[in-house]
Amino acid sequence: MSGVVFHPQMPTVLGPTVPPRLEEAFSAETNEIARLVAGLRNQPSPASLRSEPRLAPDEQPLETRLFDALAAVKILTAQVAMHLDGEWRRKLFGQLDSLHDPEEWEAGDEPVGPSSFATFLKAILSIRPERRPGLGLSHTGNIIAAWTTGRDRLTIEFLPNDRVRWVLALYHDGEEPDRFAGQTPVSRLAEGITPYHSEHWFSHESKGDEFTR
Amino acid sequence: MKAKVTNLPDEDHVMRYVSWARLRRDEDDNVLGFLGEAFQLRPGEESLSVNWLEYFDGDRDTKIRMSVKTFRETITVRTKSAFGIGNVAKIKEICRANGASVRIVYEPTDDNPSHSGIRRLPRDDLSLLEGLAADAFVELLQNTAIP
Repeated sequence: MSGVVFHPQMPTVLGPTVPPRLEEAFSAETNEIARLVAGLRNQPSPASLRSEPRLAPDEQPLETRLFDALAAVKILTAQVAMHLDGEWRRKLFGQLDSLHDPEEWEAGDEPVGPSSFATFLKAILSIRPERRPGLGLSHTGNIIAAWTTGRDRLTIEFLPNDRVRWVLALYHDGEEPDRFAGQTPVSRLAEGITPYHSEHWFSHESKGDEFTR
Repeated sequence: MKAKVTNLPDEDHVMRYVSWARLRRDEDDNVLGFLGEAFQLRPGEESLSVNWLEYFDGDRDTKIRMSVKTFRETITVRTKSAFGIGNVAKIKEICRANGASVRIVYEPTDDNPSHSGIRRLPRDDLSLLEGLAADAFVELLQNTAIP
């Protein structure tokens, strides 16, 4: 899907403020981004104001559901576009399109949920990884980000309502891998991963490097 | 059809269909492996569906081709999807190491005589699912690579 007009100056109706726990953990800039994302999520769409009856989302044709889901998360991204590198954003949209290709769609899956995607955006704008992750989707429409360095793997699932759960695996020659998993508010994700050397996952230089304690 | 068995032999293998959204990829969409979510039960599922590879006769390549053929005849196999192959003993070992005592049993259906299931699989154990994805289903075959 490539029909969404990217317009950073799009007017927004700001919704509820960011929860206090987020404000404490994020920078002022990230708080502003979170406020924009939250405001957009709570804004009624023009289509929802129509008086004629509409089909429930799960009664709509697959293509429509996928298109609507993609449009929603691209608009969310547009709201924070000034904080994302243009190339990064373009490739992110390409990955989202690929994930929602109707030709590859699995019956019974849910398309990406805007609340999960908002959590993803907050995490990305907080961590600012140099390396983009590979993306996947859970059955229920949660975005999954995967960073792979050599055999080592970091996987993060972005849950609705500002929570994330993550698992990482570190391999050592001839030994069983070490695995660590956690669940945390997105505001503490960076802190949670720090003991496992963030640069091992997020830096271009680390691609293919061995993890060193 | 071969005689029904309950538990699959430890030395045998099972094959799982994995959709595009559950393949582990890099930032340019190159396929690297599986996400743990590829082995997560859907709501309402009691066992994880797999094909028993050794059900089929012939050499290993023939077994793989026959299993893929069966998948294509019984479910919608998408172009960019893939298949994972795992050893029965290794799957059980990884589950056991994560506190889960799974059973891998033969559950033939009318249209898929090789159908089997991994039962008692925890629904939401990230470490276990990651272990299955990375260290149990170690062989990945992309659908496009199989005639």
